[in-house]
Amino acid sequence: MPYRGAPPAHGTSTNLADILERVLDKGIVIAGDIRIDLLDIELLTIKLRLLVASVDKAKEMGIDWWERDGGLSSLAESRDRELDERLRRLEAAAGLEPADADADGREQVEAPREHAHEPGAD
Amino acid sequence: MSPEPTEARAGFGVYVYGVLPAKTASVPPDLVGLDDRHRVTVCAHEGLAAIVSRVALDEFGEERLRDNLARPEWLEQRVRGHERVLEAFLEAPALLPLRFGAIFRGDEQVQAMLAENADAFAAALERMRGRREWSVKAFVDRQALIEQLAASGGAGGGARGEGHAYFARKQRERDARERAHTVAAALAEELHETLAEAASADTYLPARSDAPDLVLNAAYLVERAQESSFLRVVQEAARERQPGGMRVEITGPWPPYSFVGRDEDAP
Repeated sequence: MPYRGAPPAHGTSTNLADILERVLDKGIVIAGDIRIDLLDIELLTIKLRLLVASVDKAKEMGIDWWERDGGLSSLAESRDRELDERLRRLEAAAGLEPADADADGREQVEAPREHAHEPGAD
Repeated sequence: MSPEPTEARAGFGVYVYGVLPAKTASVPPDLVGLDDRHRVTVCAHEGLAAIVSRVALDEFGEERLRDNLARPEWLEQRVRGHERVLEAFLEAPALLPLRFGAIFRGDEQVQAMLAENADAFAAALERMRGRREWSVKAFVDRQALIEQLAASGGAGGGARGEGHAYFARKQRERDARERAHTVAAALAEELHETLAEAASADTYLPARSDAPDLVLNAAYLVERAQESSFLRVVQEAARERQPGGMRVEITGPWPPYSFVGRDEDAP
């Protein structure tokens, strides 16, 4: 059974989802001088988990154009409806206010354009 | 080389990772922060020390931060960095991890924050003293469970013909799906209760939409002195459940994120 002994040296081998659910969702919340909209972080956690699963799956299939792309801003133009739909269902299940996709100009987290956007086993 | 002061300078802010008692704050000399050009240091006020490092405002300033938060690869690297820094303090007697994103203009502001929250931090440090978090996940092959339950539903049809047998089997499969859900939840709860008994505190973590076989995702707060016996309890529980098709994984130690609460007063 794997567990990390001390001293810890996890690097990329530690499950990203385990880190995300702690660093973005738990811990003591202190408002700094730089304002972060904290609800956005919770939504981002969900999006990121989905995207991490999608990105891994895409890479498995040899799709990695975004790594060669100059910037991720081109993704902002495209809307992945299925990913959005999953996100809305998850948000509803989690009792979160759904982000308005049009009003929220920050919603740039999109799955790669190819079809590999279903996260993991479904 | 003397430690770099993290004072307010044009273009830089101070990122805060966690808080611990000042007298136990020992920073590894080569530990770098989220901006790897700057080392981690501490900023102290009376008995408390904030674990900090300098970050560039062209990355962490309000506008840029918003844009960056939407970039998954940026976020992944910074989130991993936040955890990496806190892990360097896992041997301290008590540690309070902060949530991602506490950035101040300079040391003075960090000290003011410590002063404002001194009582709450002291109370939380007392609760966390000598304790670390462990994460346990349990997996059950849902498909296999459904098949087992469907098979044990009994043979149908027989004298009444193949058509009846077909529909009877379909019904058993539907029933098995529902029962599998209940059985998995019961298995998870039972394991959680067993482990919780061996810990100082426990909490469930969110289910994962991308992992249907994950039936338990939980965190346990364990006294340092009890760690080896807790691990033995987990190993024993895993061994007992393995023949039944459950897989148990444990990771740790973690800074006690799941137990310091959304506000400093929550246990």
